[in-house]
Amino acid sequence: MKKLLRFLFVPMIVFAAFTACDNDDEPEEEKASETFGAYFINYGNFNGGLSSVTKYNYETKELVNDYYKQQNGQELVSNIQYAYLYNDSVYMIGNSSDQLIETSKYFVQTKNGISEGLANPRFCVALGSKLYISCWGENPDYVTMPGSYIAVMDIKTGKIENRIAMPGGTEGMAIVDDKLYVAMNYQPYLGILSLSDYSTSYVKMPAVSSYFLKDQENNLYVSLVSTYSCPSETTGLGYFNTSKNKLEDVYLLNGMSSNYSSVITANSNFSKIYALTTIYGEDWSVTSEVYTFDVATKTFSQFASNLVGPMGLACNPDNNDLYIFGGESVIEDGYFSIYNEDGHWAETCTCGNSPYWVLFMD
Amino acid sequence: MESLYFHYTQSSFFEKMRIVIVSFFVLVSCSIKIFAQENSTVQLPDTILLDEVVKYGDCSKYQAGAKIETINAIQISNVQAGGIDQLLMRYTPIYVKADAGGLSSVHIRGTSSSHSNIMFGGININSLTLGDCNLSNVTSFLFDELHIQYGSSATMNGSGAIGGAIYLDEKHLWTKGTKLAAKYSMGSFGEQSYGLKLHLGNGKWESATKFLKFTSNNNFSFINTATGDVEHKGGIPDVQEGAKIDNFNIIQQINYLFGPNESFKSSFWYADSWHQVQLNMQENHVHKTPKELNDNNFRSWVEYKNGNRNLKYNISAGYVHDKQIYDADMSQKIQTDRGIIDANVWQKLFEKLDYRTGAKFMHVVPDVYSYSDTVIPYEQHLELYFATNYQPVEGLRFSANFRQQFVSNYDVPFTPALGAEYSVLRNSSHHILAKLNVSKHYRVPTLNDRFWGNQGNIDLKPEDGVGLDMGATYRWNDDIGQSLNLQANLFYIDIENWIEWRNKGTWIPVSLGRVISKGIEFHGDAKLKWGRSFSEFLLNYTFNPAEKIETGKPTQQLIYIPMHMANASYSFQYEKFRAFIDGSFTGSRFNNYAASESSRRDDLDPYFLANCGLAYQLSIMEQMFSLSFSANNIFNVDYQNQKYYAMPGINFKLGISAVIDIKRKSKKK
Repeated sequence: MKKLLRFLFVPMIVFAAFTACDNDDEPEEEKASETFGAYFINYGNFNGGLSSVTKYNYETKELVNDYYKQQNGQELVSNIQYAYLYNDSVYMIGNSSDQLIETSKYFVQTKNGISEGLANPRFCVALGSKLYISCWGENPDYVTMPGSYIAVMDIKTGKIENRIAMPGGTEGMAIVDDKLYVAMNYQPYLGILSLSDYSTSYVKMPAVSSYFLKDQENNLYVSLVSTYSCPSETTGLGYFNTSKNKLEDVYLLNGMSSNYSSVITANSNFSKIYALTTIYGEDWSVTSEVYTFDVATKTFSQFASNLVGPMGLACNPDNNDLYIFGGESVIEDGYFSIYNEDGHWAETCTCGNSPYWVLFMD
Repeated sequence: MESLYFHYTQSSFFEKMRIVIVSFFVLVSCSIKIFAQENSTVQLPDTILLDEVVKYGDCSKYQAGAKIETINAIQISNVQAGGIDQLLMRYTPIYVKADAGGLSSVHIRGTSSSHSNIMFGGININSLTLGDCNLSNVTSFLFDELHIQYGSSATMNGSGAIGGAIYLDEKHLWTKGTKLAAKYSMGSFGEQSYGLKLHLGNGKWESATKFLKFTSNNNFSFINTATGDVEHKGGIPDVQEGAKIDNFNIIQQINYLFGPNESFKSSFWYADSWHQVQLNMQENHVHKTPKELNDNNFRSWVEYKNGNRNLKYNISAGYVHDKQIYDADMSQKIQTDRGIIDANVWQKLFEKLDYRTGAKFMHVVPDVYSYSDTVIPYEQHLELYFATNYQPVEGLRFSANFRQQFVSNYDVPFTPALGAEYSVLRNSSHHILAKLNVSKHYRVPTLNDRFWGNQGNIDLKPEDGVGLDMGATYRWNDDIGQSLNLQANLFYIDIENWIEWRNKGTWIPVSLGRVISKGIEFHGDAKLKWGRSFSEFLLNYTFNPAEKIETGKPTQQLIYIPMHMANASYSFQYEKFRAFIDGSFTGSRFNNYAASESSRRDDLDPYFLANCGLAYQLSIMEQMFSLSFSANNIFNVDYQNQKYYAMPGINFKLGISAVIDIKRKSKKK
């Protein structure tokens, strides 16, 4: 037995020699108390972390990556699909795990995210004390998305108080009067939910849709896209009259981006809409461009071309600069490029992985 | 729990490594002196003694200078249950990226998981759609040994064998009578494993049936540090959910021995591998309903070999059916069927020169929900190969290999390889061997890369490049079976047109610039006897900078490729008692890339895992039985192999196995 112990003792010592401990707790950084700037909501890598918020003060040029972590002392553990600013709160829709995260406008989170009642949440919009959250539902089939729904949350209690079925892949939303307009991303319909009695109706569309812009007359421009499950040649911008609940015009734009990110944006007086496109070439190449839609003349013109890995765009309401952002890989940090209204490039900076949306705050 | 979490720094690592290496040599040298010159036979209770190496022999013969190592039956039995990923992690310097829920991929010499071929007979079992293989579904119990080739073997194994190859070796007993090996083990977290190997034969005909059922609830405890809980910050105790595994494997062999040089062998392997897709830490915290993945694989390989004349030949055929269903959704079926025919001849032209040449044809029919039938109803591959081995003088050997693959509607580069070995010193006890191997390699893009939806690109260039392996081995052995084997290798792998899926507005596969993986490997093992005791040491270390070079981006280490890996093991056997301990160190790994020089990279902490075990062998009615106990992760290290995926802490296994030789028993009667 002694021999046995002697044989085993030395290897144990060897293995133990590998071990060491240190303390790498990072000092907590000072929390910011100013909100002015652009906030990039970076989705990260699905199931692999790396989701973050990048804050950019476009006047001082101060850039803070990992802003959420700085403000909260810990990383975002959900992949943030969408973020929405409402009444001095930021609502972030998280995937993996599915949850709604509410923070202050400083991105300080004091309450845990809400996950009950939310299955594959996508987008949100608020009216009064209610937040409406589009969800794909449990086990989406990615063909017709029969289980998608709108979750209604009471903002004060933070409870999901209703789930209204809206099959077809609920995605972007907009509220006009007492109606919630829902872009359906898996069936070529536009859903309308009455917020007074929660009745639903559908309007046939020439393609599936993704996101809305609301003009100054409270009518809607909607991105019409072609997807793998529902291909269409009628892509571009649809103009939806909310008084008649009718699609009145379609402004064709080849290759309208089907990304789940900010693919359309309008300038501050709604005279221009910017749209992101992706077009396949015959030689298997892919090109991405940004087009400007002149709301008055109803025509498109090219704004920027040869974009690298674009994911979205957003117009700064403060100065009408256009931010085009993206990244070539979900496991690589992203970028944003700023162009002035005339289309002149101003600067390019790095941000977190996979920027999807931007919030601008005063 | 924090005190049980071990952190490492690169600088302290080198200090530790020095201690380990010095300790290893002290151990070896002391043991050599201590051990008396007595011979003893070591009988493994749950391992049938086998007599023939089949596929791997040719690979070694025609690839002079290649580094090929073996994981033996003892090491396989130490691990007891699970996939071959467990063996690689514990006994080789190979990084295996894995979660705890039944998903793991191999990265040999800094390459990707689709750069290593997993060979079952003449079949590369990697998925034709994804390009890689989930090693946790490849049950180690079914195989008698694993041979691991480091570095390129594309000229021998075809497309994809850039980082290395793993040969799943089944030996043939040509049994007379009946031999039955049965095994049962149970472990922590609801793990159970039932295995059976039944060999029947009359010395000519042989049937071998191997069966394994492995299940695990995998509901281990861990400290959840990624809850997103802002009301209770810091790690909280949690229990892993949604990581169940249920794997079933059966292999049936039917073989016939016509004569010493002529045989028919066949092997049919059915695998039904089901596992839940492990919830990451934040999903686990909110009890998300897990998804599941079900793989059904049928692989068959039959071969007729005739070596009766100078011109010897071999005709083989195989059929493979791979089907994967995600979350029981049949609308997302990913299925391929392939038929393979391989015919080759080999001959000794002169005393010092022999060659092998042949052709391999494969017909592939994909049935993937996202492919268009009009684009790819089927695909055909033809490979022509020639290999030669030349030994001009004793102790000096050269090999040359050539392969040209043809793929329907796709151009594949010509692939040569050259190798040399020279015995600097060779006598009855000592052997010093210098090795050099240079080869071209390539990988045809996967079916997904070329045909997925409207994103696949049929014009993608194949990955190709050059691999260089240079090494030296020192081997000492004596006449009682003691040995010392030291091996050092330098390697260099250059891969052009590295394929990654990139966002170009939509996600498409693109050929990036280049990846260069280079490094140093050190291997040492020793087998020592003293009286009736037997000891075996093993040490591996690898230093592996593997850098991606892309225009406009910083040159940087690949993600999930550790720069440093090391492992060591020691096993001791005294009569019917056996004990082992092993440990492995995995260096830090980046989990993202930097787009610019100023970008920050995120990395995962390095970790050290240690395991140990005991086994006792007993004889009842002249049949062998063995009881075994093992403990894994004995320091209860809290670690992450993949970001946000929990891994089990200390866990235990109990096993019982038996080897029953019915023929021997009846003779005694």
